[in-house]
Amino acid sequence: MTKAEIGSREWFEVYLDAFNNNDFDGFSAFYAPDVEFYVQAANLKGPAQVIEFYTMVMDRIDEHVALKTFVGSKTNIAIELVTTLKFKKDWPDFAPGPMKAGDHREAVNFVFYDLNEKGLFTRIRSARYAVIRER
Amino acid sequence: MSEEARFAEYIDTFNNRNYEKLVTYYSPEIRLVNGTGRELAGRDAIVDFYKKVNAFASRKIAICSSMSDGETLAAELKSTFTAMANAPDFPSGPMAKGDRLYINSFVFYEIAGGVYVKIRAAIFERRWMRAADEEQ
Repeated sequence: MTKAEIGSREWFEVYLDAFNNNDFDGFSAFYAPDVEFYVQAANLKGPAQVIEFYTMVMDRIDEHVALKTFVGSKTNIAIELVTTLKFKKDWPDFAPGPMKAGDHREAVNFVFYDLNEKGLFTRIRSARYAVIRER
Repeated sequence: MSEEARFAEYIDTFNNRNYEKLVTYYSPEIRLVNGTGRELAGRDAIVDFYKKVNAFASRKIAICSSMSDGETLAAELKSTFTAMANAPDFPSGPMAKGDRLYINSFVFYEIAGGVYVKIRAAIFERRWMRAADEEQ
């Protein structure tokens, strides 16, 4: 995965890079088998559900996350992310509101991660702080 | 004292409504954005806002977790508001006497010179417990 210290910013950026590159094997390697994943659009359990969800999402959206604030330890990580969504297809039932192909949405989210003793994420929870761009 | 220990003292001060002590945790240029997106600039604005909130509702904040790198403190908080009177203009929505509002939030505190300069909160979960429902 990476030799960076678990819970460090450098270690966490490996996870985000994998996510931004649609590297499903890479980012799901950070998940515990019983990971709980709570985002605005879905509540998921287990790496398979997360991968299934993001396979569907990335078919419709180019998603990029940029790390702003980071505070981490071996057991918890708290981050501020700017999430940019570029819609490749219409998504009429997108959770925050219907979107059309070509729309852009940009939001700031605070995301808190719980880690187990192996340094794997057991819980991921995201809260929206602000929407920068709606369309 | 660690930032986490100082933060616990700050939350105690908040819960005890000790406004005179509360402002000592803030920079004069403090900016606070609460979970509803409302921005309060300056110590007086924060105290004025929470005095109004506390006139209608008792609020207790519990720290679920906190950690700091010395420049930023991240905290997960659980707040419970209980309306002591009808509060149609309560910032999170109208409350009737006895209603309770439970909020689970993620908050970042930026620290400089030993005081908080910027506080930003995002709500992860908001749950109403209505007095009328509980009576049934």
